Amino acid sequence: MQDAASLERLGIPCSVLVTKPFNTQARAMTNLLAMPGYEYAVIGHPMGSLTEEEVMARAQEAFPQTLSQLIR
Amino acid sequence: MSSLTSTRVRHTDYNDAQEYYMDEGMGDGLPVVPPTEAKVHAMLDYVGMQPSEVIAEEGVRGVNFTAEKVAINAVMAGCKPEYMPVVVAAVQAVSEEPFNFHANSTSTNGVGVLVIVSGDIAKRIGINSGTVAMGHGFRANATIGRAMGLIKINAYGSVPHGMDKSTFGHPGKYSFCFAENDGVIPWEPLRVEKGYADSDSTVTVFAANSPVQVNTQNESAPEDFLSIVADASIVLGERHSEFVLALSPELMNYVRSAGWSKQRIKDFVLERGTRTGRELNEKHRRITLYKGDDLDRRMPVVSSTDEITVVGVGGDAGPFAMLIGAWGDVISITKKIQT
Repeated sequence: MQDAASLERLGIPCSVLVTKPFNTQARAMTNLLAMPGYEYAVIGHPMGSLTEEEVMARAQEAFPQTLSQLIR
Repeated sequence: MSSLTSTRVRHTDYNDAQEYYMDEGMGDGLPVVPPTEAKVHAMLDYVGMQPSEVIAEEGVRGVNFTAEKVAINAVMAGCKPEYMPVVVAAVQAVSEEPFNFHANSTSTNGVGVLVIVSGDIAKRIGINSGTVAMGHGFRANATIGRAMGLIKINAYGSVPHGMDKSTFGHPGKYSFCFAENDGVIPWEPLRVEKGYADSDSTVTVFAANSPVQVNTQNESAPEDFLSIVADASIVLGERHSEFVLALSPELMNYVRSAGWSKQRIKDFVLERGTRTGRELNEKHRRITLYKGDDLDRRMPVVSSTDEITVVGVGGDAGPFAMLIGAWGDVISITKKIQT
């Protein structure tokens, strides 16, 4: 989120992906970084134990949210 | 002395005050000492600081730790004013960028702030380095460690179920502070190893996971009991950033008799605390699947002996070592205590 805040301030659109259990922390960080309404993609958890196919499925899940954040 | 700027809340009695702090989530779940203006000023007076003085700035969350907020939490933790210089140095240490305070106090790893004090201030203010050094019973240990926990919650915002995402946490998140036992170490103390004068007193902060006690019963040769320690270090997991190896006075006596240096202990533990890529694959204790040359390469727990801190501490009986792993991407920080 910190990286996104830095890049967004330079005018570079970003898409942050957060797994569901970290939604509270992600929102707290957007508030701390003075971008309270900042949108980010929330996807399923966990990621670390997924197979390559399952990762691709997560990417498909995230794609619409990511696209709408990058093309505004 | 300028006046305090924090919000004043009046309470009808002690119990009313406790209920307020519990309801507001301003604490660690234990009763706190109500931070009256007089008590907060006593803390500030001891270190000669104005309330608005910034002790440290933490860059990621943009938090300024003012003397007032640090003093309030030190009071709440039960500190005496003479503990305040240690708390101030510890706050400066956790705010250094390599300590990665934001990440380690948010992460699922669930670490706490371990404060190791080295130097004569420990004796002067009563920080225990002997029997039960990592446990209960001593006000300085209990409240300095607790102050760091409260600062993390109240001044830094790492509130459980909020920014603190610890999967388990561990008891050291309430309080984790001890002193190096100068009387049992046959080599340079931690403060000197970290570049300070022997006459200085220092704090070293670690983003500490739960300690793991290692029993080396029946072994007196360093290569024998350190083999047990090295084997136990593997449970910390590969690619650890660093760990503390605390040796009891009984083990320190064996080390002294055998003439082992601190560096020799580190070299031995690093070299023996390894497994091959193949073994790690077979035991599923790997971050990535090892292939090719890595199958026979021995993987250490940490990348170099610089990432192992050896301290002598604890009671005079018991052949025990304690391993304390640190959170992933973090470097412990040492600061001089201004006395």
